[in-house]
Amino acid sequence: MNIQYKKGVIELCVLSALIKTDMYGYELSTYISKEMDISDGTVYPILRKLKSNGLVTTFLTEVSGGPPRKYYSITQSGKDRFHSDALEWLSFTVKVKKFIGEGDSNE
Amino acid sequence: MNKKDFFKELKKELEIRNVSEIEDILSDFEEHFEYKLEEGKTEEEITRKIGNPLDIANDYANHSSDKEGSKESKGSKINLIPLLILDIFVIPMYIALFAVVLTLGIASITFLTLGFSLIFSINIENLIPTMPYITSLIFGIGIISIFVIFTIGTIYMYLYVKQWGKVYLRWHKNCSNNSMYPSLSKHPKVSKKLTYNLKLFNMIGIVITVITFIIGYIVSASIAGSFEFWHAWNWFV
Repeated sequence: MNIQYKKGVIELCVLSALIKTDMYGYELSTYISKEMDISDGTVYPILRKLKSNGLVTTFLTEVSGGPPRKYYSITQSGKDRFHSDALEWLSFTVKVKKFIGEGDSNE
Repeated sequence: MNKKDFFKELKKELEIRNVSEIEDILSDFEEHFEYKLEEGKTEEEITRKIGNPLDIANDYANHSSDKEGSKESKGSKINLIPLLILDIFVIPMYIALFAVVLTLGIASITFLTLGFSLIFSINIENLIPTMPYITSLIFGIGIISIFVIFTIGTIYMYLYVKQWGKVYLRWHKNCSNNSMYPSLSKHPKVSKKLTYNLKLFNMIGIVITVITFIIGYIVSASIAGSFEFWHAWNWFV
């Protein structure tokens, strides 16, 4: 699938993961790249962008036998963004389905 | 690719794009490697699935210009305005530089014409003062060699002005796109053979000019019987 098309949606996927629970970087990366067929390294720049835009925030937790782990947590504006983007995405797919559906019936 | 090479590439690409907090970014990927290695993956497998360092660096660079604050997004547009204002000054200056090249070229042609007139005794509009043919010939040759020097100067000036134009355009493109094309050298790329020939002719030109003018002076002064042969021949009355 077209890479640009995917990247726009990954942010939404990241936010929807974090709205359920806080995750650390690697956890998110494997969670999403498993389903979405993207390179493992795609998620990290996205997390940085979301953080600098205030949609997610980070905190450190002590982990036994290693350096403190950086967890990502969604902020209120992240939640707002998730809801508006999810709505937009759903109505978008309904429209696309219409086109695809018409294509099928013409064959 | 092994882990060391991956990080070397990634760091280099991030630095080229002037991404901030590079250490922070690298430690995210370090962590990724740690976990994957623990799972038993090899460095080759990890770098294969992690993506291309160039693409990753581009993501970080592009995302930094995707900022949400209105200040930031207007920022990249406002940067364009001082650039355009600068253009307004630079463009006439650049045209002036080309005018210099043109002037040098015209001066060269003038010397060529004068030289020919002297050698072949073509007196245009009686502008050339009377002198014995030998004087005319010797100075004619001297002036032709000045023509050679000026022509070489014109060629060099033209090449440099053209190159400066390219350098400016590349810099302009880098500023307005926020992309990082490598900056160009301020010196034009001239083949070694051409440079050698130009320098050779230039040297020959200078030498011949000096020699002819010295000989010309000696010959003219002896014929005129005076140190200031131009007065003896009524050149400036």
